[in-house]
Amino acid sequence: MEQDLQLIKNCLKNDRASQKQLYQQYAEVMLGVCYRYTKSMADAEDVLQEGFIRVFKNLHQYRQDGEVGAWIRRIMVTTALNFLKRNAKYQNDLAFDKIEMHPVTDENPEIILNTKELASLIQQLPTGYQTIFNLHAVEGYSHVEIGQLLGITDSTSRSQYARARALMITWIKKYYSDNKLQHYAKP
Amino acid sequence: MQNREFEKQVQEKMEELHFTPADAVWDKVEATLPAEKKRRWIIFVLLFMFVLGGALILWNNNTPDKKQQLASNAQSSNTVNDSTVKNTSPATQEPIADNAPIKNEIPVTADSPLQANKSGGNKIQSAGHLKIKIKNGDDDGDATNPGGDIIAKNKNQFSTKGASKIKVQSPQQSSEEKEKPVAPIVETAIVINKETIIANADSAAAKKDSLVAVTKIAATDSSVTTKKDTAAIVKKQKENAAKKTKWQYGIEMAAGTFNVKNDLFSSSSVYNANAATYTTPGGPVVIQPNTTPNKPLPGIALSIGAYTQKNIAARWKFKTGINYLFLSNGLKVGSKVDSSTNFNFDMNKSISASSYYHSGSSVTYKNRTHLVEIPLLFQYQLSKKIPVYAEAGPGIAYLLHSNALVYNTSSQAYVADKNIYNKLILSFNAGFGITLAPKAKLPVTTGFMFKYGAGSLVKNSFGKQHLANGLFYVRVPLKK
Repeated sequence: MEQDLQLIKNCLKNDRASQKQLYQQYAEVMLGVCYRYTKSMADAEDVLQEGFIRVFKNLHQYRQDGEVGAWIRRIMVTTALNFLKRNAKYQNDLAFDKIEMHPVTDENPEIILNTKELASLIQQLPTGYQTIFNLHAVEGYSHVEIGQLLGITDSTSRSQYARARALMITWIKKYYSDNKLQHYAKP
Repeated sequence: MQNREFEKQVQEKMEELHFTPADAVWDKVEATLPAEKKRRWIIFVLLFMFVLGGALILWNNNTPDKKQQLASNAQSSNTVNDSTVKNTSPATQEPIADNAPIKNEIPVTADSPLQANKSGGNKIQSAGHLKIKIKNGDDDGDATNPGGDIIAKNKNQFSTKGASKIKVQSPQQSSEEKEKPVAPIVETAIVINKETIIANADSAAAKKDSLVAVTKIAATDSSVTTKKDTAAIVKKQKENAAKKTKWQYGIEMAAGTFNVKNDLFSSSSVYNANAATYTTPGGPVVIQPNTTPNKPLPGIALSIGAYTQKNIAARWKFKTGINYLFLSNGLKVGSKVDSSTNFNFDMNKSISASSYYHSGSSVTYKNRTHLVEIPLLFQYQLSKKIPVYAEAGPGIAYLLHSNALVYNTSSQAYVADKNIYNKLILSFNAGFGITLAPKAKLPVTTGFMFKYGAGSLVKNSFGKQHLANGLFYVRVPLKK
């Protein structure tokens, strides 16, 4: 933590080596975050780039009461959402009222997929489902917060999440039966 | 399973998700970042050099003392007391050998264009526009020519086409005038348009016959005054002064040895030997032989560039220029590992490299450094007669590229990264040299120069690497 604070101070002094160090320290994890919100690695890298530009631009606003990583992660998520909203490829899919209805389930299957396989499944969710699933299941945002972030009601967020979760569980089960990862939905 | 069990599993799995981004991502991010503050150094250094250069030029061009001296020299240079005519004609720039006596070789005949003024004065109108006044020692002003027409008989001849007026006084002039110092510049004005003044007249005869020929200038202690000569003299003086203070320029090539040092007078390795030590519990510090970082091997230094120099004082010169400097030396390292790895250094500095070298001695790695250098040297000529000089001064070098390795203590590996180097390196230069054949048209200078990088090649967080090189150089002037 102290090292991070020193690093932030050096970054604020516009020390290029420190800035690169901060980037290198968090870039790989943050690319994973960006990857979950987008449909391709190229888009994920675009979000990562934009996110880090915002990080360095707003570094002076970082209040040193929390972890740097968490602060950067929030910026990455916000950047990813903005990217989805303004990118035509994702816009139509992000219209939550148009999302196809899927049955809800309360099942809690054990996930034996590895990290990248699971990320690949999340990536194949319709963008609306994918976004809410990431925000709630992975990032831990409440439905009220998600509603504020996406400009929807919390009940919409809740119902969309339930359907996204059900779809994921269906795919996971299917994965077990097929014993291989495949494309379940068109991105 | 609990209701949130699925989400927990997802969270745990996703915490582990990471990918290595392409290098281009950082490049694009970096491109948006404001320029490093350190780059302001360059601006300040350039500004300083610009101001320094401007000041030197102004200082050189505005020398009122010299102008005053020139004027006073010109005024006091109307008397010729020497027995010789020296220097060159200002009009033609034709040199005359020093100490060449004026000879009486061609007799003056009745047809000689050199005639005295009939109106009585001793004014002589030459065929050209040269007017000469001759004063007899008995007279205060222009002496009357008792002989009427004045024809130079067979003693002297003036041959000139210039437009100058020359005043000649006979030996009876005042002793004060006789003793006036001779300014060599005045003497140069006597010969105009390549035509030689041959004056070997016997002043006594001239006085006796009132025939003016021109007296032998040196022998008669006559004074010669010309108006236009004064202008020519001033011009010549200026030319000489300007020539002395003009910038000379040329090319410089150098070759020698190079090495990196921990400190100027330190023999310790530039790489931290402590990296290879460890302490056994309760035991002494043990040095692990196979991980001791190697000392860098001496290498070569090459330099080529352009220089310019000028006189700033009697035996002092200021020299500057721009040189490209290539430095290369070897370092024994272990095997190369191609893997993207982070290396942590002191002061929370770390670098990420796509490859690195283990400790060892199986491979000789070549450290190569490319610099552009601007030296600011002051030369002092040690001897007035022999063109041997010593020179010293600072220099500033800008790093173009380097692949020099640094030693990482924690991983015991050698690694290089572009972010570990200082871009600007202050250096100190000292040396000596000798000009070969100084009277040649373009005299070559050769000598030895020692350069020491006062600033480290690598940033402090990554160690100390001071560049030290000794170069034998040759300077070939393109303009003397």
